Amino acid sequence: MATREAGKKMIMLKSPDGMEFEVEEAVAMESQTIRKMIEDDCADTAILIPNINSKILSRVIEYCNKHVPTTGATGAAASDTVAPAALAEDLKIWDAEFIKVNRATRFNLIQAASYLNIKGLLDLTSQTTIDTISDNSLEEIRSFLSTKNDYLPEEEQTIRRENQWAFQ
Amino acid sequence: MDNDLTCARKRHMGSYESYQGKVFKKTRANVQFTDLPEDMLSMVLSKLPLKDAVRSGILSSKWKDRWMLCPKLRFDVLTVSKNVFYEQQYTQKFIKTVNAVMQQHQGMVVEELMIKFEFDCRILDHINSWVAFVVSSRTKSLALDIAPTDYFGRTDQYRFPLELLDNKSIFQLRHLKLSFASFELPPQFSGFPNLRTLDLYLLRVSRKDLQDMLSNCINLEWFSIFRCHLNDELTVACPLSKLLYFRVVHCRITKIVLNAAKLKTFIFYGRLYPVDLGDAPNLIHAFLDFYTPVTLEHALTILPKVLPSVQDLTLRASFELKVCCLTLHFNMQVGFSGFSPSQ
Repeated sequence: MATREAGKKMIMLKSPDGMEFEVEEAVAMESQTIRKMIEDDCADTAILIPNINSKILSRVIEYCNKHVPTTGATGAAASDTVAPAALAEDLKIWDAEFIKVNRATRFNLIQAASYLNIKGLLDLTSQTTIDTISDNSLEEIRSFLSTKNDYLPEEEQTIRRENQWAFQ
Repeated sequence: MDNDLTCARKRHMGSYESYQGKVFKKTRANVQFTDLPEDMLSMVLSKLPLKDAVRSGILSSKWKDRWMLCPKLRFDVLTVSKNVFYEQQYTQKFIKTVNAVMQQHQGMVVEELMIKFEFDCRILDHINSWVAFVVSSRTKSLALDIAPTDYFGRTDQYRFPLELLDNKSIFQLRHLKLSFASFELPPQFSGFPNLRTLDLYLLRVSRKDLQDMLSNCINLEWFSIFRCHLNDELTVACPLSKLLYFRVVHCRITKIVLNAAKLKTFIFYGRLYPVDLGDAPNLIHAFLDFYTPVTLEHALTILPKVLPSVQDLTLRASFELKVCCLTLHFNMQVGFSGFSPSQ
C-alpha cells in the first residue's frame, strides 16, 4: 500500500473536443491500450484519445475509477486474484446502474472499450446489448437493429429449414 | 422503460457536468448497432447463445450469414433443449446439430469450440471428427467436456486423439480443457508451445506423458488439475516460467515438484504430500485444504518456510490439540494476512 500513497502518479488524457482529464496512472492503466503506451514510454505529458469524445471518455474514466483494483500495489493485472464476494456484488450493482444509458451512448461505449481495450467494460456493454436482443421478439429486434425483413416467403422457409434445430 | 432510460441519462448528464465543471457538446445521437465496425458486431454476436446467433439469420438478407462470422461455437444441452435434465435423451439431436453447424463452418476460422455434454458412448463415434474440425478451423480455444455425472470408478474415458493435431493446430492452441479423457503422447510430440491455460478434469494419463507434455508447455499461465489420479509423482523438470495460477484438487498424487518462478496463486485440496514449487517469490495467494489432520506446529512453523512470500493464506484442516491426556480434534479455518517470516 505504501507505494500507492507515495507515488500516486497522474496522467493527463485529452479528448479530441479539447477536454482534459487528469487521472491516476493506475486508473488509466485499466485500459490495455494506455498501459502499453505508458510502458513503452510514449506518454510523458498528455495522451490524446482519438475518436472518443469527452462525454464518453468521462464515462469510461468513471468506470475505470470504480474498477481499479484496490489491492496489489505492483499494478499487476488482478485477473488471477479472487475479489471478496461482497466487493464483487457491489461492483455488479454499480455496473448495472452504470449501463443504464441510451443505445447510442452504449454503442459509443462499446467502441471506446474496444479501442482502449478494457475487457470488463467491453463485456458489460456487449452483454447488455445481447440481453436486449435475446429478450425481444423478431419484429422488435428488427426495429432495434433498424433492419427490414426483405426475404421472400420461400427464402425465409429455406433458411428455417437449413437450420431447423435453431427454430424449434 | 423509455422513461427509465431518460431518467438515468439525465442523472448521468449531471455527473458529466460536474466532472470538471464544463458543459459538454451533444454527441451524435443516431448511432445504430449496425454502425459498429464488422469485427465489433461479430464480437458482440459471439456472446449470443449459438441458437440465438443462428436465428439472427432470419432478420434480413444483410444478416443472413453474419452469424457465421461469429468465431465461437459453444454447444451444450441448452443448444438442443430447454430441459437440462435427462441429457442423454437429446444425445442424437445434439450430435446432429453439432455436425450440421460444423458443416456450415467448413473452411472458416472458428476461434473457439466448446462441447459440453454428458458422456454417452454415441458421442465417442463423433469426437474424432470434431477434433479434425478443430484442426481445419485453426481453433485457439478447445473445451471438450463430456464428464458423466456418475464418473466414480469409471475408466472408459474417451481417448483424445493427439495424433490428429498437425503442427499448425498445435501451434495455434491457446486454451485447452479436457474432461473425462485420456491421452498418450505420440512419439516426438513436442507439446503446445503457445498454450496459456490448461484445465484437466478426470483425466487418465500416465505420469510420464503428463510430465513430458507439461515440460513443453513453456508459455502456460493457468493450470488446473482436478480429480486426475496419477497415483505417482508429478515432477516437471523444465521451468514453467510463465505460470501464474496453479490448482490441484482431489488428485491422488504422491508428490509434486514444479519450478514456477512467477507463480502468484496456489490452490490445493487433498491429502498432505510434499509439494515443491521451487523459488516463487511472487506467490502471494494460497488456499490449502488438507483432508489429513495436520498439527498446529506444522501449520505455524513449516508453512511459513514453504510459502515465504504468501500474504493471504487460507488453511482448512482438522488439527490435533493435545490438552493434558485429552486429544481434541477440531476443524479450523485460518486466514492469515500479511504473512511473512519476519512477523
